[in-house]
Amino acid sequence: MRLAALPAVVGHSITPVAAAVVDRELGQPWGFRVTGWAVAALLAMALPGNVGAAEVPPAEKELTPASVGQLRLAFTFRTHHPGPATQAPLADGKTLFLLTPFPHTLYALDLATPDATVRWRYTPEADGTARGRSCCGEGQGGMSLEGGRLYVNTLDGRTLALDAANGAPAWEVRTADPSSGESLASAPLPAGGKLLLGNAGDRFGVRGWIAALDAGTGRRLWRLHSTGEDAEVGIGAGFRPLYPGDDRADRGVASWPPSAWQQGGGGVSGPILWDAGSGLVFHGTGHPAPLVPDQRQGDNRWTSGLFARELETGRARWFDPLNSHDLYGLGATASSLLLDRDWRGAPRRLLVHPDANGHVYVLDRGTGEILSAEPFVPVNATAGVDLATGALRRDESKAVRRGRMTRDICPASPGAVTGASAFLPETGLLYIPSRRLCMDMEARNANYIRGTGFTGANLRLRPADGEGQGALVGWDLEAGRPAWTVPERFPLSGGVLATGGLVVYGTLDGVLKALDARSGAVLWQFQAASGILSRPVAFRGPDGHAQLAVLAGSGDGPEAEIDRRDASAEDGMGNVLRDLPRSPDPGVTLYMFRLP
Amino acid sequence: MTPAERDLRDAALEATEGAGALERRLERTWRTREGFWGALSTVDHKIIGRRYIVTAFAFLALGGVLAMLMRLQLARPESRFLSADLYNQIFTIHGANMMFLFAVPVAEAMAVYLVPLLVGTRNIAFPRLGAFSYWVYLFGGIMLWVAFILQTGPDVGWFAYVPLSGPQYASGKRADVWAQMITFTEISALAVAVEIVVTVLKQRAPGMSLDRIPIVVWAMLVMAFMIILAMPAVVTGSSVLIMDRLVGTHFFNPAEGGDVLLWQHLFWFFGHPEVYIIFLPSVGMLSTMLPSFVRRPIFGYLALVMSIMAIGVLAFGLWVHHMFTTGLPRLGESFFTASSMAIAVPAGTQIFCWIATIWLGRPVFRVPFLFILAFFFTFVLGGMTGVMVASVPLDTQLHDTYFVVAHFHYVLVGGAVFPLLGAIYYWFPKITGRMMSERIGRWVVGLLFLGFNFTFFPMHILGLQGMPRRIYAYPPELGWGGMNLFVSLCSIALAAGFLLFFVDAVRSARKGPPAGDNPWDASTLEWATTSPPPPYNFARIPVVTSAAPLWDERAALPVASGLSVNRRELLITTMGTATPEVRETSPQNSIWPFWAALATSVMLVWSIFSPWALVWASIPVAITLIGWFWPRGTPEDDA
Amino acid sequence: MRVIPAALLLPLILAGCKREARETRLDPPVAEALGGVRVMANGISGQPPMVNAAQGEPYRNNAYQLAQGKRLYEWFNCQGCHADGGGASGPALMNGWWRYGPDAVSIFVTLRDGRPNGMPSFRDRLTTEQMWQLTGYLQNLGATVAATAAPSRNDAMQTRPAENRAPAMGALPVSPDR
Repeated sequence: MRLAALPAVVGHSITPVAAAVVDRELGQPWGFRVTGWAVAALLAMALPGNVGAAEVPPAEKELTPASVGQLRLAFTFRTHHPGPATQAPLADGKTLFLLTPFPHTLYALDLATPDATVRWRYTPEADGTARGRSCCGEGQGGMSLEGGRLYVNTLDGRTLALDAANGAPAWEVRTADPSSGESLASAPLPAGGKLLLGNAGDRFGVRGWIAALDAGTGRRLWRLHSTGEDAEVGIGAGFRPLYPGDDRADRGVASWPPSAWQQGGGGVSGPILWDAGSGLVFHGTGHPAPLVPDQRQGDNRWTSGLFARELETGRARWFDPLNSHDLYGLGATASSLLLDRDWRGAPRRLLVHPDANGHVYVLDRGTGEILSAEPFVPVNATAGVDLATGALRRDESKAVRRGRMTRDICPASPGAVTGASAFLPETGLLYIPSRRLCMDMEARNANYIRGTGFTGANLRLRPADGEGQGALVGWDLEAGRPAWTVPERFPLSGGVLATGGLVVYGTLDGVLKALDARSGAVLWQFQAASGILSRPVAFRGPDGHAQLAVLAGSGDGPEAEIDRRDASAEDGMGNVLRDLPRSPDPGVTLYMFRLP
Repeated sequence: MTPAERDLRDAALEATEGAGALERRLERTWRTREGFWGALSTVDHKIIGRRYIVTAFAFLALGGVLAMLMRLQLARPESRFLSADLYNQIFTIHGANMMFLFAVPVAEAMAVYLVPLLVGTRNIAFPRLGAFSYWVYLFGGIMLWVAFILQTGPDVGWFAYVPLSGPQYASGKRADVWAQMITFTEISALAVAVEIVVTVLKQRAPGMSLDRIPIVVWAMLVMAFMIILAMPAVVTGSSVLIMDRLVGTHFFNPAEGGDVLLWQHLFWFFGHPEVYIIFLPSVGMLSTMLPSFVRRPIFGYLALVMSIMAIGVLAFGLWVHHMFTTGLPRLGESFFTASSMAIAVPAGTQIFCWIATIWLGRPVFRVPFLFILAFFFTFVLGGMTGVMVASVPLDTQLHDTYFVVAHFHYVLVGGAVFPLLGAIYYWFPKITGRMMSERIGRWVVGLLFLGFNFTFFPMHILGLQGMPRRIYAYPPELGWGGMNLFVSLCSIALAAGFLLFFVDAVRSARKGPPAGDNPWDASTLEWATTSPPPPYNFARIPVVTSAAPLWDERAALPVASGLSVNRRELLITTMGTATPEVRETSPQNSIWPFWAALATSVMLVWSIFSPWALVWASIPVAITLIGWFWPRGTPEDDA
Repeated sequence: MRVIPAALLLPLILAGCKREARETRLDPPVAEALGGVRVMANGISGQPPMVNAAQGEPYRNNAYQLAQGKRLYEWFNCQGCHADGGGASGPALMNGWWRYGPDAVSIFVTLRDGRPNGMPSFRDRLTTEQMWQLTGYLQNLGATVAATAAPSRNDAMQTRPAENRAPAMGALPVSPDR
């Protein structure tokens, strides 16, 4: 019965959306667009298997493996923005908030109306310089909702607070400067009356930082960096170094060649987590700059690692160097999860972090001790993690040296995972949207020129093996190995939603999938008109029915002007995405599904 | 002609037609037609050899002009006479021109002219190939010099190391011109080498067993084998360089699996035997000339021949001594140091044999002998500095300095050019029928010997003081200015010597005193015929009974008869004892080698610009080759 | 009759001269004149300096100048945003689509003054001659037909066919309006 309801096709091409449904375009009256696929969809819906769907559904319906097959496309909302869309929509009972990529427009859609009218819309000022600061599907700002306010980070370095009811701006501050290459890539985190945010710009040699603003006024309370002297990093009395060497003073200067830390990178471009119980804030720092390791000999503290800081002052409690002297530009900014679970018999407060270096790190979030680190994708650059020192056991043949080409380094540079993972306690599985890629890396020279790319390495990516360039890994947390893996043709960059026994995620070629969380079987699919780089969201609509929303738009329309005949385009991803079909309708579009 | 006429033999002729008839008929059969097309279609080794020699010396003069330009630039510190780019082109072309367009071709040219006469046959083997070889050589040389005039002259050094000559650092087509010049000269050298080997092994006069072969012929034979074995390495390298530059292959790109040192190995595997290819013919000529000037046969014939062969073999085991500073493993460096020193043994053996010859003889101090004496001094000095740079620690200090420049000019000019000039003085009478001037010749020897030594000896000192090679200017503070000025001034004497030589050669060719058949009273076969020789070389093929046939058979040289007179025929003999085996036809004049050379040149020049040239231009090449090999329809040719 | 082959050869010969001449040191008056670009009010196109034409368009035709442009492309971090012409955070330069027009003046002005969407200005970082060398190289990168003077591959990782091997455009450029 579920299969007969599939209106889409699984295959190599992205086809225009069947539209025997409302297609809501901004500012235009209702219209219908019927395509051949719509006819097929109508026919499919007319098949005997669907007769049961005409029965009167119960008043409330949850999204479960049993019911997911009945998901219907309720409407699409096209923003005509070229993309790429990385920020998921936020649902708040009656309103759905949508943030387009840069230049941003913030929409508040009224879920109470069947066609989701726009209640208000806000377009912040945009500094065009930032358009050239984001690459390859990286995040472009973000928003979060707290206490009736929307807090927005824009790519061009503004943080604003708006009243969620009417879009009236409360305050706006300039937090990053795009002329140096700095940008804001992720959503701010409201925590205990403060707003936490970090900058991006590792590839431009921007020194990373994390800052806390007062959520009410926007005034900056503290800002601490990822490189530099202890006072500027927040290393002080409360810091408990985990590994030998980190107890020395000013490691953020001493582990670099003189003054190289000033262009050291380490941006806090990923999500920040807050544990109200312990009052600690957890975040990862990005990779050091430049990519070529010979120009920054030393351990390069405090980049490519995980920090725990006190919320009130920002002072660091502990630091885990996951990729010390990062050779491959991986960083440690992939999403983490805070879990309170039993670990090997004893209840512990955990931080689970699937890292770009291909290992799932399970840490005790109070002390930072690494409890487990196992690989979830093919890895050959390292042979595991030495739990005593936290260091990776590196393979010398995969070392990167200036003027030399090192081949087949796995995992490849954007990392084995970027998007948000999800965890379901009832299955005990961690769902990781992974990339299974290897790369050839040729390190050359990088000259620091403010505002230009400070990388110094040529990258060329390729599939790790014949089994798909991406995979949704169902990772058994306790056992430390995959329970199942669903291979994907293209690398996965969007986040994963896990709810009600289902795992939902979107792929680069626009397929939105729902898997059974226990077995990994594909239960439902939908073909969008453009690639999906954001996390799907599920919520209860005003009428009590479960709804699923996803923002599609991979940004590979004509405006992107990427030529994939150059294998090093898009930081080497160009080589891997050559077969990616062009989106028939590349603009950023919201797809809303509901259970009838 | 009727079959009977075709097979008319020389023995029968004397009886029926009287004196001079043999010569007239042979003249008619073997001559080259008059006129422009006759000149283009000749296959007479003497005409081709003469052209080759004159062309090679013309390139020598052009290369000498470049050398004088360099000396003018370096005479003073920070001179602005030549720009850096022009200087780069000049030293590259000076080196490439001297090595590829003068030194090897002139040795081959002497072989093409002399070897058939020395071994007593009518024409060289595969004469059309010789014609082809000359035209390819000429077109290749013209291409290089025209490119220089058009600012497309190569500027990457005569050995064009990658990555400097590779696609990233050598922009434009300059390095491709260099690489194709290699192809041109390699084709022409290989062609002549094949001819020499076959002529020497299979066309010797009856009775010229292996121990009676003139030493110059042995030297030319060994040189020819070395060319056949060494040249493919460099043409592989140059072709692969063009591929890297034109179509983007990665032979020399370390990032994609290639290797930069591969170039050096390929080049020097050829490059070291190359210098012995240049050197051996000269010492061979010396060994053949020397008996005439000491009035006794050469001392240690077997030792000399063995030494020549040993040098030919050992030369292939030395090439890494050009790469001592590239970071190779020490075991390799030690081996090549040992082998580089070992080759001094056969060279020294030769020197002692010559000294013994002079010691035991009665020297006649004519110009060729003076050149031989100049050779001794200069070459031995060059050999000694060679043993010095064969040692790795010293070479690490001296590599790429003027010490090396001094060393190789000493061995090349001393070891190859002096005997060559002596050989020109010696064989000029045979080639032109006139003697060169003895008086001017002495001036030439004096100017060249003194000019050369005063020019190049200070370069040893400059090298030890650290002056690097291939610099277009140097600052005055380094203190090299004085010696450089001295060198430049003395180079004028050297240039004057060469100029005087050219003047003498041109004047004597027109108005020199007539020479007669054997002005030096020499002992080898070429002096048994007229000066210059008739188109058919010998009226009857001589029969050799000793290593010095003209001395041991003074009264009358025994001859063999039975060759046909109405068609081109020569005698094939066995390899060991030169017993007559079979009569073989020698090709007629043909214009096809010229067309084939033209088509080949078009293909090679076009392929500098597009890889499609190999496809499209091979069509005319195929057509000309078909014309060349089209069967004549004469029974003996199709047998 | 002999004149005709010579006449055919002459343009080839002169082309070779222009392609291969190597001007390593620019005369100061010429270097100053290279900055004399007149730009239209909208910042796109205009009139190039007369000295370019007087010198025979070296930044378009001369192999050495194009090779220098290619070196500058790597030295000044162009690859950080534009990769080897395929684009990353900056647009592709090899697909034949020029946002501000394909002519040399537009590209030169882009380098000199920057552009609004994140392209930095290199006025204080490159000499005028270097900007022209880069301009010529970039035009070659986005050209439809490979020129003889175009540079060849670098001794580095092979990411795309060399500029003298393949024309930049595979498919027709797509206008953003479509």
